[in-house]
Parts: sequence; structure tokens; C-alpha cells
Amino acid sequence: MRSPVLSPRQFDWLLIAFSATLAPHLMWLPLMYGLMLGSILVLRYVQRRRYVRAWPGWIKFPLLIAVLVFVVAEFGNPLARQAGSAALIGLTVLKLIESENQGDGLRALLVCLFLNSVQFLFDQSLLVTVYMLIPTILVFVAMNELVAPPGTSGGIAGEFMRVGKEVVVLLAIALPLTVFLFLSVPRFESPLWGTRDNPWEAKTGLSDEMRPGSITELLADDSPVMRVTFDSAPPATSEMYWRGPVLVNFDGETWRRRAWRGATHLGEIAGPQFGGQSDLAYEVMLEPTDRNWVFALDVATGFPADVKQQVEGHLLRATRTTTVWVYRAASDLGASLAQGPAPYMYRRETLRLPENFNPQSIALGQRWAAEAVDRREIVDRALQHFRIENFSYTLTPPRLVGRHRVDEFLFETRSGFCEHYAQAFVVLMRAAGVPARVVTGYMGAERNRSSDYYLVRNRDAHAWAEVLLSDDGLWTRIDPTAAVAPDRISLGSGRYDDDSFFARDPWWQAIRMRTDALQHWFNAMVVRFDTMRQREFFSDLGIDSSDWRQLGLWMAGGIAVFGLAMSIWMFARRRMPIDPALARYRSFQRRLAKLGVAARPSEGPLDYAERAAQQLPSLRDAILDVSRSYAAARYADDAAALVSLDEALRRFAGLARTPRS
Amino acid sequence: MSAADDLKPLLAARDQINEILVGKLAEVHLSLVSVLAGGHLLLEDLPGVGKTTLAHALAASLDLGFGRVQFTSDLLPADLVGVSVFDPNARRFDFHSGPIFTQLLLADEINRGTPKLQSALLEAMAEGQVTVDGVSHTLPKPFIVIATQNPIEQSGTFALPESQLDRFLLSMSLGYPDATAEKMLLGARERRQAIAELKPKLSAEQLMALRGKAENLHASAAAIEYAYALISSTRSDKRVRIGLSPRAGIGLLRAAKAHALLAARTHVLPEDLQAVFVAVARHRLVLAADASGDGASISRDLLAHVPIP
Repeated sequence: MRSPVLSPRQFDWLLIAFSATLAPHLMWLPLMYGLMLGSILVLRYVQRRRYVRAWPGWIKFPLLIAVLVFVVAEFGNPLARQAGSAALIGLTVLKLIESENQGDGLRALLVCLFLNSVQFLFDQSLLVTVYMLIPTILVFVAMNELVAPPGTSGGIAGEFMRVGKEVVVLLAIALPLTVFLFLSVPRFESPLWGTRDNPWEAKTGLSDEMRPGSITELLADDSPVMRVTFDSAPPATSEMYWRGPVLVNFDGETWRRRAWRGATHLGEIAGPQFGGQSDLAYEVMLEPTDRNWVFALDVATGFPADVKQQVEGHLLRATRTTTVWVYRAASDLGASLAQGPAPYMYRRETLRLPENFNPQSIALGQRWAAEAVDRREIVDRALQHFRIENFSYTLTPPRLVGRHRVDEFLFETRSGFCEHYAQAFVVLMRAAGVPARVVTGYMGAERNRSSDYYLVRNRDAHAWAEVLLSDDGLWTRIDPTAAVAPDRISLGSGRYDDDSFFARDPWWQAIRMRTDALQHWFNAMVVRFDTMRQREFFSDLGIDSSDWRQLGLWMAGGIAVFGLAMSIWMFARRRMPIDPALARYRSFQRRLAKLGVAARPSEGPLDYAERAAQQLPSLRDAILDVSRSYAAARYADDAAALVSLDEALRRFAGLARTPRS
Repeated sequence: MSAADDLKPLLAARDQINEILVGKLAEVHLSLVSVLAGGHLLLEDLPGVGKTTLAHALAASLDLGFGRVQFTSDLLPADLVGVSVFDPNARRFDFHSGPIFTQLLLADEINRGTPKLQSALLEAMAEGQVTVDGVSHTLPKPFIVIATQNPIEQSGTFALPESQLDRFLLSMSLGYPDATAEKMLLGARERRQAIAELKPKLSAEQLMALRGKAENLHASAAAIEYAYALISSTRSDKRVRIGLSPRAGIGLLRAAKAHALLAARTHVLPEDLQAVFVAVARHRLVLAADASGDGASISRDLLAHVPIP
């Protein structure tokens, strides 16, 4: 049987619910794709306002091809998280194009609910979690609008206020079950969506490469990278060098990591599981980076079992971090890194400079080398050079355009940020014959007073240098930025070079701290609730959750208890005992509703019968009979009418069962 | 069913009125409900839409004595009710009855009368008698008041207080006729003449008998439950400052019974309550200051949302 055509109002609700669902996805969807879907929706809205009609196949089919081609071209692997989600969103938009009746609309709304949960594959922050309530409520309101009979007054806003209240009550009722399922549904050790996405997702912050001068402005990206809680007294923030990838190869423009060819073991040394008693221990809550980097203070001496320390000192994890991940680490802040295997070859690489680049800088380095007695003096001269030659620190340096960018920076612009200084310093050192390399990572942290942890944000991204002062010695950390802008190091990125209102206003800063503390709490309580946490939680209750059967039994029991409680509540709300005629009439209404004529709660028996008879002419007499008998039984208190009601109902049931043409 | 036979003259009267007042089936029907329920009717409308015609046609078709009083601010209660005049020959006071002593009184622009005048009328409406100089004079039976008021022109009027509005069983507005009806109206002959030619279809005695029947019509517990749900919904709604009174509730059921009788039923159905609810509630609801809409639209909205138990 055909379900009724959507009224303009119902269609509006469908679009409102879907738009609210789509909105958060736009944060990660490619702009072009979002624009394409958005304009299809707008066209559809305009068309639906003018006349009711699904789009014909010759429009839909090319659109379908366009969506699929776009998804594959943009994301590659169609089974991965982003491609799958993007395809699903595109197909839902196409579904809306052809949704003309109630059934289509309801199906689209169900997919909307699924898309709401898909959103959590991309962002699990508290803000998004709270926002997701809005599309969820809107979807339920739209569902109600689609199944409820039309003819109620009031605008869309009024409708929302009325139905929204009911929906919120419904969601509140579902909350205990949600909490229970959250606690008891078995967790996967690694997330399902761990499939590799294409690396187009260029996160701001740290990357594999460094290209000083190509970006003219480092965006002040406030998003958090990690939150750190120290077991004991924390070090000064100027001591906090969170080590990331080390960059060795330089081609005149870009710095890259050294490729450790051959056996991967060559690049790994077995790190100690946990360092000595005197080492600094702490817990890191790392935001998803989509990389397998693990950050620890220099020099890391302790880290989780699935993490390996690389020759160059940084830590790598076996899997990429796609959800908030908490790990413990320990560091010895006073230590330096030893040279790894094949030190001679590695030293040669850390001295190599591209040919025909930066002649002035190389000449300067060579001059220092000729004049100095040892490497220490060369380093000092370079730092001295930065200090006295009018260099300045700025996050918005002039763009470097020429071939000799280091020369340009050292002798012309003389302003830049950590990347410029680290690069120039390393080039000078290599020219002077001092093995040197660039280390990237994060520098400093901001203490959150309201809940006593340290927050590292993307804007804390930093680059510094390491040099070998003697060929058989250890790598020594030199931070040339400190020579130019000691404040950047001692105060942290947040307070340096930022005199905007938001950075200065203490009230705003306090709010920012509070909200971040809230997010920290949310991560600890909700996002981080993994297999281990679940096991702990259930063993506290005396349940062995490693046995899935036992867990399943508990889950089934919990759902049964919830269902029982709900039914008791519903029965208690219902006025008992129910009138026998009314009970029969209600079942009659349900049957008619299945045939497409749902009763409005405020519709009298005669009006309803008349409407139903009009829509189902073949059942006309039976329907009118039932309602007449019902009216007599319930409103004339005619005892005999109950018998004739039963007869009429039987006749109706017999007729309704036979298929209608 | 004998009830149907008894009804025939009333339905004939209705059809006759419909011939005069074209295109107002529901309104004519409601006015008959009001008469049958023994209530008074308040017409809120602009001048010239047929209020007088309706009253005239009702009186003529039901064979009722008809009187009309145009309310003005200088009209005195005595002008309406009558006065005691000293008869020097008989050496006593004689009561000279006023225009109120009729069966169907059309009180035109009731809100132009002074509060004193209004209360005299409303006392008569409630008690079915008037008291002059300590002597009570019974009004003829049936006694039906059809009052009109102009909702737009409010200058120089005395708005009826809520307690007095409560005495009108039903209230409605006629509104403009639809296009077909109005064109027919323009082409038809003089209405006054047509009214003069109306034949009475039933006697006052027949009407009183039908009234008694309506009063004793069966209202089941389920119907009363629904009536109560409707009334109490007006009391809990945010848009309404003062909801329906118990008297209004009694009126609702009385009107619903009359409506059921007109439909030749022996019992009240939810449809009967729904048919009269807006007319019962619209003038009685005192709206909250920030409520949008009027009494009628809010009553209609309540009607759409209160489920039938």
C-alpha cells in the first residue's frame, strides 16, 4: 500500500532535521563536496515548494555517479572511515531528492540518526557531544511530524516547542538504558574505524616536514594536543620539550625525516619500560592525531609496551592514534641522547647541505669554523649572532621568496619564528662542520589551575636544534629561538606575541581554562572508557567482563529490567480499568491506522469513521457499522450494543483481511 | 423513532431560515441549538451581516413574539423593563411593561448600554423575571435574548464584564457570506418582505416540549469525562488567564445535548461537544496579556489537542 505524500510542512521538517545532522559533518567534509550537497538540498527545497515531485532518473543517476566519483577520487579506499561516511551522507541527500512520501521520509530520518552517531568517529569533544542533542531532537520531532496527523495550528517554532518537549521526555526516559548499554556493550580493543584514511587530512600543528618561509602566517591554532598530569612536582614549563620527529634531510627548501632503509630494527632500540626512581613520571591524554607519534618529554625513559623509541629519540606507536589515548610515560630531563647505530654514516648526513644554496650563510659558517677553537665556540657565536644582529621573533614574518631562503632570512628579513631559527642555525652549524639536526615537537604547556593539569596546544608546536659537540659525544639540545625571544620559552606560546583582547582578558582566560577542564573530565569519564576501564568497572561490581557470555547475560538482564520498569510505568499512567467498548475501539483504530488512516486523538468516532470510509470506500459499511455500535455502547450506555460492536468488528476484520485492489 | 417526528417542524424552521440567511448553515444551526438549550445568544459582528435578519427569521419561524431594543448610552433601565405609573382614577400604580416583555428580544449593540441597563437585562436573562418597585413580573416563556455587539468600534461603549458574558450560553460571529451566497443575496428580493412572509413552523408549546427533551437527553460518563477534559484544558492553558467556569461547563453539556437532539440522537457524542465548544468558550475565556489569537482560535486549538478519553 502507498504511504501518504508528505505535506510541505512535513518536508520542511525533514530538511531541517537533515540539515542539523549535516552541519557538524561539514567540519571534516571537503569544501567542494559540502557545497555540492548543500546546493542540491537548496534546489530540492525550492523545487518542492513549487510542486510535489521526485526528481526524475535522468537527474538522479548523474548525481549518484558524481557523488561516488567524488568520494573515490577524494578519499580513495571507499571502505575507510571518511570515504564511507562521505558516501553515506551523499546517498542520504540523494534519498531526500526522491523522498515524496511518508515511508521515504521516515527511512531518511533513520539514516539521519545513524549519521549523528557517525559524527563521533570524527570528533568526540564535549562540545560536539552536546551539540548532537540538537539534531537528535530535531530528527525525533520530524519523525513525530511525519507520523502525526496534520491540521494542528501554530508555526514551525510553536510546533517544535510542543513536540520538542515530548521528545526530550522520551530521550530522558531512554537515558538510563543508554547509560547501561554504554557501560556494558563489549568494547573492541582497537576502534573499528582504524582503517587508514588518505593523508589529505592535513592537521595543523606538527607534520612530517618543515618548510620555513613557505607559510607567511602560522595560524594561532588553539586546539588541544594533549593534557598532562604529573605524578610529582612538575618541571618549569621552559624545561618542557615534547619530542616529535627529527628532521635531517634538507634539499634547500624542505626538511624531511631521514629514511631508515633496510631492516626496521635498525631504527629502533629496545627502550627501557620504565626509567629510574628519580625520573619524572606523568600521564598523557593525547587527542587523536591520526599519526603514530607519541610525545614525551626529552629524554623519554619510560613508555607503554606497544611504543618503541627510535634511534633519533622520538617515540612511535604501533597503531595510529584515532581516539583519545591515555598513556603513562617517564623522562629524565637532564639526560642527552646517545648516537645510534652507524654513527659515522649518520654524522655525514647531519653535515650535508644542498649544493648551490645559501652561499652567504655557508661562507659565514665557514668563517666561524676557521676562527673558532672548538665546536662549543661555534655554537656560541651563532647564538650571539642572533642576539646582537637585530633579529626579531614574530609569528607573521615576511614571506621568503627567493632560492636562498636561509640567506634571505639571515641577512635581509631577520624576523621569523622557531622554524626559521632552527633551520638557519642548523645550516650554519653544518657549514661550520658541526653535525646538527632539527627536532620538532611541542614546547611548554599551560597549567590549568581549576583542575591542575598541563595543556599542550597546537600553537605550542616548536622546532629546535641538536648538535654533536664532539664526534663521540651526546646530542646536545640548542634552542636558537631562546636566543632571540627568551620570553617565548619562559612564558609559553600563549602569552607571547599575542596582544589580542582574548589573550589579555583574565576573565576570558579563566573561562577558557574552565571549559578545557570540563573537556578533560569528559575525556577521562566517557571517551576513555575502553576495554580496560570496562573490565575495572565490572570487576568492581564483582562481574568478570572478560567472559562475553557473562557480560551478555548482564546486558540482557539489564534490558529486561528496563523494559519491565517501562511497562509498569506505562500501565500505571493508563487509567484502569479501561472501558470494554473503548478497548475494542482502540484495536479497531490501530487496524485502520495500519491501513493508512490514523485516528487523531481529538477526533470523535463519527468524524473518524467518515474520514476512514472516504479513504477506504470498499470498507465503508463495515467502518460505519463499527463506529455506530461503538458510539451506542460507549455514549448511550447500551449494553446490547457491545454485542453488535463485536459482530461489526468481526465483519470489518474479515473484509480488511482480503486484499483490496 | 418518535424523536425524529417531533424534530421535523424544527428542522423545517431551520430550512426556512436558511432560505433567508443564505450560506450560513452552521451559524443558523448553532442559533437553533441555543434556542433549544434554553440559552441566550451573543452575536459579535460588524453591522449589516445579517444579525437582525437571523433574529427576525428565528422569531417568525418559531412563532415567537419579537421585540427589538437598540441599546444606547442614554437608554434607562425603565425604558427596557417598564415603569409603574400612578393611575389617579383607580388610585393605584399600574405597571406598564417595557419592550423586554416578549419572547425573543434582540438587544442590539448591547455594549453601548450603560452598566445599569446591562445588568437589568442580564438579571432578566438569568431569572426569567423583572422586578419593578418591589413587584416581580414574570417574563413570557420562552424568553430568549439575542444580543449583538460590534467588536471593532469600541469608543463610547461599556464592555460587558466577564460575569455577565458568562450568562450568554453561546456566542458566534456570522461573518461575511461567501461569494455565491452574497451574489445570491444581491439578486434576491428585499429581505424584510421575505421575513414577513415566513410561516411559523412550530408553536411555543412544541418548542418547550423539545427543550424538555433536550434537557433530559442521555450524557454518558464517557461524554461527561470528555466535557470535563475540555473545560479543564482551558484552566491549565498558559494563554488563558481565566478558564471556563462550572456554569460554562453546565452550559457546554446543555448545548451539546441540544445539538445531539437536533441530530436526532438519544445521547451525546464527542462530536456534539466539539460542535458547540468554540461557541461556548470563545466569549468566556479571559486571555493572558501576551496571548496571541483570540478566544475562538484558542478554543479551536484546544479542541484539536485535547484527546477524547
